[in-house]
Amino acid sequence: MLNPHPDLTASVLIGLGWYYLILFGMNLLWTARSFRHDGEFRNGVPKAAFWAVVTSVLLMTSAYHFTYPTDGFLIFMPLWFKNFFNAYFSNPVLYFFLSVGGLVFMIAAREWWIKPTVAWSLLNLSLLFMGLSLTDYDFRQIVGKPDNVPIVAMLFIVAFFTWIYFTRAVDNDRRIAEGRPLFEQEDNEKVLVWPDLVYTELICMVVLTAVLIFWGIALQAPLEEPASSMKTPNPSKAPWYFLGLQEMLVYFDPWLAGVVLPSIILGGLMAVPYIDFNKLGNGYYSFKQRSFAVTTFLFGFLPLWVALIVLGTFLRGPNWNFFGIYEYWDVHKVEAATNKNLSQFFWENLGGIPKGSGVLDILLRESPGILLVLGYFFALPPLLGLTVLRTYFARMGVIRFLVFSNLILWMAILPIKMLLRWSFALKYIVGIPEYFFNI
Amino acid sequence: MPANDTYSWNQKTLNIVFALSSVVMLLSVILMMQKDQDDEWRPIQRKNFELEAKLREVELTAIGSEDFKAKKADLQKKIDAAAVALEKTKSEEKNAELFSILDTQQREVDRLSEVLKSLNGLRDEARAKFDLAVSVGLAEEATSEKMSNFEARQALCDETQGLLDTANAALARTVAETKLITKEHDELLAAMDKMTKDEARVQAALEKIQPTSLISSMKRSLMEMPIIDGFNSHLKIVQDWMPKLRQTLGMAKIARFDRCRTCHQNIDKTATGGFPAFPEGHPSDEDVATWVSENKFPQPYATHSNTELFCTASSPHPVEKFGCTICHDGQGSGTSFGNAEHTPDNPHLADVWQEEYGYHANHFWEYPMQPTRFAESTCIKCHHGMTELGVNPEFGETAPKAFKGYQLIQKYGCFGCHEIHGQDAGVAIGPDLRIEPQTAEEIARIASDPSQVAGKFRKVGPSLRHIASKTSSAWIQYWTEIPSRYRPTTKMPQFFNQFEHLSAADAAHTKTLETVELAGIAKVLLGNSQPIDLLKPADGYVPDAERGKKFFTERGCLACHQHTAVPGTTAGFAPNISDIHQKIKRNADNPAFSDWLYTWIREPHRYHARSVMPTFSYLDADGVNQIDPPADIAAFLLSQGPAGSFPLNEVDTVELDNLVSLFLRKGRFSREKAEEIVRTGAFDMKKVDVVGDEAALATEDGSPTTDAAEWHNRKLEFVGRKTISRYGCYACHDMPGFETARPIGVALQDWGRKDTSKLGFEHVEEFLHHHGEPAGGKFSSTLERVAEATAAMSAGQDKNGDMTMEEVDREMSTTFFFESLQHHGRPGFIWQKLRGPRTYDFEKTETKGYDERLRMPKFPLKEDEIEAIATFVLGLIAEPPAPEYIYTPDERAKNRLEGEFLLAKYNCTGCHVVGLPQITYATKLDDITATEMTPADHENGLAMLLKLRPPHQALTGEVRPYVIEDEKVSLSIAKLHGFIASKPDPEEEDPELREFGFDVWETADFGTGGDAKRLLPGHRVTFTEKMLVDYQAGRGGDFAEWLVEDLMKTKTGGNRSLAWQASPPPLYQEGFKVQTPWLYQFLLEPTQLRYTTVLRMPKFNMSEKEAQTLANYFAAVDGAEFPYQEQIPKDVEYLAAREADLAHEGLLKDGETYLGESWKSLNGPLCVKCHSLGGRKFKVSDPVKDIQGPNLNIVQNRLRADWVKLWLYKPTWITPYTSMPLNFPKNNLTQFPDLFGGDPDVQVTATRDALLNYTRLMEDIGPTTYAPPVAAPADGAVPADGAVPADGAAPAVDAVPAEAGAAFDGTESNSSPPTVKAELPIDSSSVAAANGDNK
Repeated sequence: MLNPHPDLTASVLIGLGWYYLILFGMNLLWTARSFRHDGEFRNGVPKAAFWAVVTSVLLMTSAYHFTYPTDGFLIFMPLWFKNFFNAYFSNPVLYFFLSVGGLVFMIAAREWWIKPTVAWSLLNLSLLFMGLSLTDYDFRQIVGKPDNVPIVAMLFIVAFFTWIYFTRAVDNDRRIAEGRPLFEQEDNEKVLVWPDLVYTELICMVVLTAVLIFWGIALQAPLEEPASSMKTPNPSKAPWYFLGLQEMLVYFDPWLAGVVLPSIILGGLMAVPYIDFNKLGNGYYSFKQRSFAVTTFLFGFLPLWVALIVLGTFLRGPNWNFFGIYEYWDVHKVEAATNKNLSQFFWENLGGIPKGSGVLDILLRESPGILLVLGYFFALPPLLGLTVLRTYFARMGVIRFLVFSNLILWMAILPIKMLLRWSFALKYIVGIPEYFFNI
Repeated sequence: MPANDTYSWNQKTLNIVFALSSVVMLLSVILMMQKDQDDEWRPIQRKNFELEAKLREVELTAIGSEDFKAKKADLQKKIDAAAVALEKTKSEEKNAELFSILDTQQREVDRLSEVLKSLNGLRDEARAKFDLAVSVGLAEEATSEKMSNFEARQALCDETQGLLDTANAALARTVAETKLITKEHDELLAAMDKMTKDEARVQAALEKIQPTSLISSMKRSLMEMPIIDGFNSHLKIVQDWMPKLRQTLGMAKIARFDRCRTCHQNIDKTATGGFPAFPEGHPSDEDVATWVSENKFPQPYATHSNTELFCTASSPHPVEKFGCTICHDGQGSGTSFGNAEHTPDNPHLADVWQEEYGYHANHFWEYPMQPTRFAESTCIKCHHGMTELGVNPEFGETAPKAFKGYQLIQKYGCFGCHEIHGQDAGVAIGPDLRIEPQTAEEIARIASDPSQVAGKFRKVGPSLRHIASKTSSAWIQYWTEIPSRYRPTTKMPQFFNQFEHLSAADAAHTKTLETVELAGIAKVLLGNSQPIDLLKPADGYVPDAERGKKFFTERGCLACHQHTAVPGTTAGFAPNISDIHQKIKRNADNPAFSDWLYTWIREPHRYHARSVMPTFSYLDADGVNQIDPPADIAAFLLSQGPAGSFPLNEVDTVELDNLVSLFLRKGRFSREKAEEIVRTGAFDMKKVDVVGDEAALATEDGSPTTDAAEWHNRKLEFVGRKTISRYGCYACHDMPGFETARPIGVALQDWGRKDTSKLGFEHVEEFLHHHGEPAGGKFSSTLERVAEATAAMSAGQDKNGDMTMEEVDREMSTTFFFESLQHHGRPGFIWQKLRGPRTYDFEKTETKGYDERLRMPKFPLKEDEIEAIATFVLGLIAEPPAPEYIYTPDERAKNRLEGEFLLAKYNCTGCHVVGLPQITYATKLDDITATEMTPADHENGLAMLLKLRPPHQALTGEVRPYVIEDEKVSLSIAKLHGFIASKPDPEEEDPELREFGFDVWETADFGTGGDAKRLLPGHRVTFTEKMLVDYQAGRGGDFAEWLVEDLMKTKTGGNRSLAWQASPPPLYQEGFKVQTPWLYQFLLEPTQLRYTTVLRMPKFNMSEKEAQTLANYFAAVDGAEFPYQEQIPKDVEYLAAREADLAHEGLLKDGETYLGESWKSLNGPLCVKCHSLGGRKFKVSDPVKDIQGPNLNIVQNRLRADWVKLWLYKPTWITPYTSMPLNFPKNNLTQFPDLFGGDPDVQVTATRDALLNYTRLMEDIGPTTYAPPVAAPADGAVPADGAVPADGAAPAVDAVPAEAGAAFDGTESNSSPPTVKAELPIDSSSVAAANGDNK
């Protein structure tokens, strides 16, 4: 009790003991698989030997945890790493660039990381990182919250499905390049509704129900403080699936982030089939044939949606401040945030247009921003159509191209605004608080 | 592709997977149901049934003793024999016939009853048909037919009824006859039934819980099954529903559901006598049999520890009405240990709970249960008045800790800075502690707004309005810097010199700044001080310090103050003034005297209008010199030493300028402007135009201040005013210029619910990791202290280092608060805020301005006091329950409570005993001698005594084993109220001779019924030291008791009675004694009553309302009649009836009037011996021995009739130490033989009536001197010399000490009463002498 935030307690160590025991089980299976498929190193030792060593280390680690010595426990996330991580990785700029960089790397190095051994190693490393991080009190407080469990699961599930996609796509791309039939064509045997579909669905249903019941028993629904208008929780967070939207609120006026952008996302997704003119890639996985579509989608989905959910869940703390994953959520943390509207830049730095309170004054004041926005949405599409996206314009026709280009521009507006905020502390491009209209 | 027989999946595998997954799902469902049924409360209820069964078994064992069994078997044998005999008798011929007739008759009665039943049915049907016919309006023909039908049926019924009656009568006759035969058997059966009734009842109860039959027990098990248990199972959630006692959850107020009794099933169960049926304790094991045999029950099986007050139906807080969570907080709807939000009392307990119940603190529930240490804080929700929690005639001190906190807040005046507003828009929300309005405008504003109530508390510090006349600038600075340096016991907190949280450099710098501030404060105080006309002793008067000391000792100063020159007193109500000579400004022309001090003693309110210091009536005439006690007392106080010199630090001018500049910048000045003002002395405004403290810098005409010294002073004044505003000095002191200033602190009325995220913990935790304990103490930091205590606690009883377990327990308080602080809890915050208010500035001072630093001063509080204050403040939640739950006293209780408040406010208990001391001792009932009535005592007097002092049961019912003279005996424990008369001689070594003497002041019965021994007031009880179980000091009167001891040494030659007569009287049963209107007058304008006392009641600075309240208080406390008026003996009808009665009895002769004769009895040669009476002044014949009683003309307005009558019957029954003799002995018929036929009993009433009609008689008859025809008074005045032989009057020391105070002298009475008697001023001879003189 002398340390109210103990990193290591008996129950944590026992929990981690089970965690490593599961890792051990997984790797045991992997070792068996490796023994059958992976062959040998050059010196004749089976490659599975490496995994056998990993597996046995995991078993010993697990056993060590179960002895939970109260003092001098050796396996924990080292302080220097936590400090380093908190100091250098706890800002949204780096986070965003890293997630974009990760996407680029994922696409560029797809042939490498889809290899089973590599993928398995990455999975192992991420689980190990998580296990070590769990020895930190503050990390546990956030990741261990029962309602954050699905988000952690989601991270792995997203990674898994992405991996499936790239594995298949790379395979097919290779087949196309080599002139072999596609995987889907080769394995096109039709199956029966009964029992192949319905029966398996039934089993899935039963298993899923059981899993949900076990989950419900093991992790009780978290009960927080009674709702009160006098005292709202700090931070006040949306349900996890909306945290991406909530993150936008940092950069946009609520009517944009809360109304316009979500509507456009929904509308845009509905419009995709009508915009898509690429006949390739129908009914089979392929990256090369749909690289633009896939990249655009992944950009919108991974850095702009999933990453923002993770950001909102784990990294946004009290007062919506940004916290490192090993950082205590102190309500007293203050982050300087003095942002300026575009019109203020003009007025203060460029001797621009004076302030006024009449409608015309306001319009005049905000004219640079208004022009910029109008230009962005009206001038850029034709410009793009005539230059960079010339082929698209030609194949789509005017209407489809305008819809398409506008959707792209809307998607781009989030990272653009983020960049402007980070680099120029720009608050609003058009800021008319008098009429609650801000962009 | 058409369907074919090939499947994508192997069917067999699918089937297996399906089977497995189904099994898994089944398991999950079973697990779910098991979890659902796995409530924590079920095993507890089961165990409780087990406990109950065990109790029943024990009860059965007790009932079914061997003796009982034998008796039962014997009875059964008799029954069997009787049955056999009965059968035999029945079978005799004539009897057989009788019984067969009985059968026949019984059959006939039964048959007829049945017939009647069906006939009645038919009759009712016919009546209904008729009624229906009427109501639907059938033709008359039809209705009359139905009527006749009914009548026919009714007739049939009547006929059958007649037959039945006859048959019944016949049957009864036969039954009576047969009863004669079966009588013996019936009676035996009845005896058996009676004998086995209790057993059967207990057996049935046991059978219910633990059925013996297989079917019943199966049924019971079945009722526990899931789903079936929904149908009124014996295992169920017990719910108390309080729809009006709502709780706030988030935004909504909802009804309160408490399910606590689901587990705490025995919480309200009492045994006979109101004792807890399951006393809480820690039994030695888990077995219920052990619990029962040890009579200790762990929670949740135990009964509430205070069933007198809580839970039971007869208590003021029955659980059905109040539930549990209104007092305990917690989550009432929770049915598990965790969900109920139990809160451990210390971190060690938290660890134990975690192990036992998986406890963890839940930060999300807003109202966790109060830990035991704060249990009392919730009382404040309903008891806004607080006083009833501290002083309660029925239940005693019910919430001592919360009440102590309340008193401390009153003492230290926390409400000066932190408003505690008990009203919200006219609705009471909690205790109301506010400063009284300070200005006339404020009073008017509050008076004009009916929804506002004015605060009633005075500022706790002295007025500084005229301080220049009292003391010096140097002292003000010296004092203010560290008050305790000058006076260690002061309650003034320390604002300056608190550096424990600062670095050495910062502390040094702060000290220079504080020096400037202190100089500024002194400058402002003396500059603003208003002139005052000081009083002076008469010209040429030479004050006498020696005499002053005597006055100081005897006149009551020590009831509130202490002084080292007069050691031995303990009063702490007012400052310890041993050091007052150092600070007081002395006269310029006479350093041995101070006009200020003289004025202050003589007329405190001249200097401080709201002081509670009373004005003493001092002007004494000693016959030769007019002496002036205030002057003497002043001289005495000043003679204790020379005026003090107080070293001061130099004011650093650079820092002064810095501070001025800082404060100017915080105003509306830019840095350049501020620095310019400081540099040039030019404040470009006229003084009148400046609003705020800056006015100090401006000159009248706005010109720059050029004189450097003047500018220095102006700057000092500016800083001083800023400092006073910043620290809120006016919160406690009346200061000119700050009358309308607002409190500077956070309001506390809802602090108990303050959002913890709004508490600024800053770096205090870090501070406590390295500091927090006094330098040079045992620990280097609070963390270390807590660590050691925790380790000691965990180690347990045997291994706790160098701390005793008691100390460790105390230390748990610190660990609790420390833990709370770590979790940012309110208790932890307030704890450290009071321990070291500025420590929250640890490492914050570097980054904030000097004027932004924390301001709270450090109060001289002990750790338990901090906890008490925390208990009170945490109870301030401003969330009152429904009005019917708020404690609202009735008129009498209200008078009592308001009076208690005033008692404390004016320290009445400093002088007066208001509650008698109580002793508890062990005694053998046989050894008690009941008080015997002497022949001189009146039966009517005894009746009156029993009316005014109804007997109180002395025996507690407890019996304890003792060893006396190597013999084991059981002694009864008794409780008595009165005064200790003698204590064991400290040098006496024989334990048998180490004796206590105790004078009983009440009527005490030992036992009940006719043979109970009864002690009357004035009885002396003696017992050895070993027998003393407990002594509880009386309430109040410390000074009186001290003065008695002192006077016994200095004045009365060891006579305790005389010393008591000279001291402030105990106010025991004052409500029965005095008339309330008189008391009201007396409190406002005290006049001299007694001539025996060395001091007089001073005049208090109280309002008329307060005097009224206090007067009512005494009547209310004693339950005297409402509205406490006294009329009867003045009533004309009463007097006429009395006159007629006496005339009828022949006790009044023709021409004599009742009042006329009464006037004679009063003016006879009795009363006038000691009292001025009827125009005759009391004359002193022997100044040493003579005792002058109070003047009798005030009796009619002052005293109550019954009391006066009892007083005349026997004074020592009322006040055992009095010198008033028994004037009308029952056995002396010759005293006033011609008055009322010489009947002393009538004379008593007559004298009483004369006293109560005094003015009328003086008007109507005038001064009278009555001389009885026979010169008997000398014999009759005192019984000892009259009917009762001198030796017999006082049988040992146990008897009523009839000879005035002789027996009351504790030190000597045991050994030689006669010698003491010789010293008595009132013995028969002196009375006679006085009498003779008067003639």
